[in-house]
Amino acid sequence: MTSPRLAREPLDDLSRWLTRAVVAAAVLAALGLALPGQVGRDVAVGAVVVVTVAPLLRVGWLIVAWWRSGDWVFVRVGCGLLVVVAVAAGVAVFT
Amino acid sequence: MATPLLVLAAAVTAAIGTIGGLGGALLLVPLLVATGTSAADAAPLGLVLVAAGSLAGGSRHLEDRSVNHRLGVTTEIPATAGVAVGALVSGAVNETALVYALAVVALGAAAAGGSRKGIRNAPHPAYGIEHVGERVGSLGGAVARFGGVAPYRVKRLPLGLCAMSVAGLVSGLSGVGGGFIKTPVMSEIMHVPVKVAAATSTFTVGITAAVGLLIFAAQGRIEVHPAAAVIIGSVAGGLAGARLQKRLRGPVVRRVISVILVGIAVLLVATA
Repeated sequence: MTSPRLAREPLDDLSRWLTRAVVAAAVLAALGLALPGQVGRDVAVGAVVVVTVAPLLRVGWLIVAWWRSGDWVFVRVGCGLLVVVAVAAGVAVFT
Repeated sequence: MATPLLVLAAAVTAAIGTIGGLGGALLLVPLLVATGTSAADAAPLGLVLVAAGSLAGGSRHLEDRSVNHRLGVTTEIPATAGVAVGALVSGAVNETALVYALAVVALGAAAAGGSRKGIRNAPHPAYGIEHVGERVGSLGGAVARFGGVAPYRVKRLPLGLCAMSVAGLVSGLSGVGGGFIKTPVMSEIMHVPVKVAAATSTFTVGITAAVGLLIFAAQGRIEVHPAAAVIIGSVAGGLAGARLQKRLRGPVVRRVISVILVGIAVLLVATA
């Protein structure tokens, strides 16, 4: 049987935030294809930035939510993941 | 590939990937290579597909509380470390041998999921819809399924974490999200319900893809206009896949994943 204490993070807030990110990525991608030249290219870059950064911001959001609910074990785990992500990206880029 | 076709291909592969938590890069990249895109250009587009599909499927998985963030973040640590190691040693690995190894892994995962009968985590009469979700300080939780709400606990965590590091290693070596390994590992090794495994894998492959895209961006390897087309298709496919997954029963999802994995194995061997 699982622990009785149900997690109460405001996932509806996260869901709304993700929905906005999805809409932003889709709109930027569509504009990037529709607009000509450098402007279209810059807008398309914005779409790629949104889909790249969103998962990492989601982890950051979770760490804050777990910190607020006092789930210190997973605050540490989440911070550990962001450190590993930064090291992995750094090592891969600089080698 | 023409832009409308690229949007369509991304939509179909992202939908399939989201249903099974497989990401979809392993389907899109061989398709792009087979239609004339170079492997070097196709790999970043595969990760764009995974990241966008993960983002699109996220809201739906949050609404039904099927994603287990604590499990996802925990398993992603060895997976991301594996990605870094894989990226570092990728130049020293024989590509053909790697493709055959991926095909064997996909077939093994398909056999493990497809041959299993019955339901591991049965609905519990004491659990109601108010119990669905994660547990504080724990990797366990409860998930809504047909017939009630089923509590679950993560089993064989050390073995699961080792397998996740292998999934990350494969991602770093091959430039795919690794979801085709992560979902079966969570479901078959860690005994997590398949819908939770698929939703959690969809979340974690987004992180893996983000790391890969940061590396590709630093190398100047992302073609932004094809990437924009992939994002449009992937968002549509990710939303559709997550909606469809919610309507399927766990054993059906498991069989769908097995069939897709066999297809991936055949595709890999055919393009090796």
